[in-house]
Amino acid sequence: MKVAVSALGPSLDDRVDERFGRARWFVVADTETGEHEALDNDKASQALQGAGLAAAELVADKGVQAVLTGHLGPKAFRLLDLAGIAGYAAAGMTVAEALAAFRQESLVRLSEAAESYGG
Amino acid sequence: MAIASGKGGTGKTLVATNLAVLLSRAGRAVTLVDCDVEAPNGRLFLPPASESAVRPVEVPLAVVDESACAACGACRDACRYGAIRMLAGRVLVFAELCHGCGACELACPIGAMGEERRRVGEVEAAVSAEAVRMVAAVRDADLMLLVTEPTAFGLHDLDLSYRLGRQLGLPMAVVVNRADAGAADIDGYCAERGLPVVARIPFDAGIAAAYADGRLVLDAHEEGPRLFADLWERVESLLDLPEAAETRS
Repeated sequence: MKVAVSALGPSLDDRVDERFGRARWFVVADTETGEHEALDNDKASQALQGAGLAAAELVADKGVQAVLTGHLGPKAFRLLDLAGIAGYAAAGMTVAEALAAFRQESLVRLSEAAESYGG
Repeated sequence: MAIASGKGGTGKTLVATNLAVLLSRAGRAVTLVDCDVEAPNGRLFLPPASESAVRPVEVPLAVVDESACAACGACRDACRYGAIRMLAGRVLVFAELCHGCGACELACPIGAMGEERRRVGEVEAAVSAEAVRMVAAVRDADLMLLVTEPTAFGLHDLDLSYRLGRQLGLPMAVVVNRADAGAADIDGYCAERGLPVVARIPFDAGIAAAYADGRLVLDAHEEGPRLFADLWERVESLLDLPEAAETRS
């Protein structure tokens, strides 16, 4: 299964970025093969509005089935939900720790959208 | 005179209603036209003599004809507000981000983008469809009175309004409401641009209470008549010297 992790940097050792839409990077990992790639979210993260939607579209296009992040804004939550992508809370971890916790099914599912974050 | 502000809730209605009544009591012929789309509250303070009709104000909202859409993404790429996203070959329009600019309609090579009307508020039926747009409402005024408050939002939106007024070549003056309730440097901003501050309305529980009761500050607060008479005197001196006001911009 492919999973996107919002991250402060492009590597597995970087910390999870608590922001989804305005995350600096996304690390997209395949939980079966262990392969991963980093997506630079610099441009979208500075958009005046709609950053969460742009990020949701970006990771949906990569075919992920889950996102690991801190908060999801209401619009991003809606778009991910439409795409059948689940969100999980992984604040405070590194990307590698978040992926390990996800494989162990120990992450909490983000069931409802947090308040709009960062305008 | 046009009374305007970028930010909502700064006190446009407060200033407009009190000024209108002050002038009317002084024997001047005054017409107050409320062009505020989102909160046309003037009539709460000055009820119209006859029951006046209101009509809805609508703006365009992008819609996609899914049966025609070829999912090329041109609309999404054209939208500078990020209101259009694509998911698995489907175009999704997020109404809360759409500004109704029509760029997606122009960008769509096969005419699959259109628009519907979305209700954003209402105005008195007598206000023209054109006049609900700020530019149209203020364009022909002799003076635009900008009502603001000393907060970061107030200053930011004062700047938006000021830049619009400058583009239109309008003489402008500023009323600072809740003058002691924030830390933003409105005075410094105005001084740099030669914008006269014609009144400072204090942050006062008595004024807030009167307004919340639908009463005029002129009647409900002992400082009211002095405050608005002074405001008008300063405005009038600016109106009498339109050349001087124009050379500032």
